[in-house]
Amino acid sequence: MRGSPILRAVLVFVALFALAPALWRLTRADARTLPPPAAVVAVKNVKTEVRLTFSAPAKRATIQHLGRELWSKATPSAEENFACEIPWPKEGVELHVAVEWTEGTRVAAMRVRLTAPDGTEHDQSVWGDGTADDVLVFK
Amino acid sequence: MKLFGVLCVFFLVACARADDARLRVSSFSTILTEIAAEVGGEKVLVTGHVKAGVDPHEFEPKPADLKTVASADLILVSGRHLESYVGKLREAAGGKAALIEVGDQLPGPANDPHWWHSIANLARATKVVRDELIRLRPEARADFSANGDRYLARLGALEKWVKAKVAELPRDRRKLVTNHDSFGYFAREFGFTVHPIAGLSANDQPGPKEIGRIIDTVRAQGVKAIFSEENENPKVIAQITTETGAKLGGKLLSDGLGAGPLGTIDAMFRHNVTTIVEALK
Repeated sequence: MRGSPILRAVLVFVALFALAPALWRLTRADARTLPPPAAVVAVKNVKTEVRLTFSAPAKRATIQHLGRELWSKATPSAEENFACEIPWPKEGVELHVAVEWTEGTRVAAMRVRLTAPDGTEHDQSVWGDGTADDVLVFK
Repeated sequence: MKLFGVLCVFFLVACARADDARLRVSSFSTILTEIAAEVGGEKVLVTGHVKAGVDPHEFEPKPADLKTVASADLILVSGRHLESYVGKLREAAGGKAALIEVGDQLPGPANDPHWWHSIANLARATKVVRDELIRLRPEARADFSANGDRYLARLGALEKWVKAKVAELPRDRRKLVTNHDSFGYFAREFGFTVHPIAGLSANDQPGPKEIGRIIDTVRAQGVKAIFSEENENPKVIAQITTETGAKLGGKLLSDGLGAGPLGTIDAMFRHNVTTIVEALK
């Protein structure tokens, strides 16, 4: 190929310059059709029945959900029931439970039963030697 | 006066012998340095070669480190292919010291070395170190066992705290977008899903496709915050936050202990968990 080297360099430069917008479109981070941001729907609160069973008399029991106290009672009965309104995402629900049993109580348990919005029964227990403090997962 | 001088010499010699009597542990992980010091107590002299705040993916032992290794009784490394220089350590030890790749004895994916983000694995690692110390110094079994039990109880209390703190966050918001893929163990233990921008090594750099994929995920799943780490590319995080509207959740300690007040396992966990929960709430 003959011709001025400067001319050839200019031609190459022009060719690259012409291709630049196309290359940029192909390689940039959002080089595809971005879906619109999903409308992240907040999970609605649903009425949930909670049933507690104590294997031994307790001095106090507390149940928290998302860092907020749902229920607390001093000297609860052997069976306790309460209803609450909490969001129930498909990933499940967690309850932070704390129990203090009366002095002298050795290993004891508190059983927690929940009815999910779809009617499914969930059943978990927390065990402790005098006290128990744990997070129960219902899913 | 002469007698006093002689007594001083005896005292110094006795001190030096007491020092010599300690087991010498060379640790190449900030996490294992803490565990060995806690379990070993006064019976062990632990040298932490990787200092807090140093990226273990980048660390290479210097001649002074290898000299210390040559006189060690036990060498501790994280394992799971994190330390590419294990061969050099074996060579320096010359078969004299036991070299334990602690992570290789723990459950989890073989190619992910970040096992210390699982408290269950920290407890298992504590037992591995305790058992190795007992094997090397059986006469100190009672001390190592008691120290180990105390440390395991502290890990148990930390686990309770983490579970209670994480329970403040709805399970559908437990989506963790981080620069490199280092929180898999944490995610499995505490119910999170991880969307890493890059790979398992802090050196991995994401390409446009990876960034685009993360932007799609953040937008589609309504992730509220993205977390940065040490030794990362801040431009990538900035691009993702700009394009998605997610906020910068804060800086996480991913590759070991931090410097100063973040220089303990307890402080590392509390910092990471508080940063994650408060940003995603």
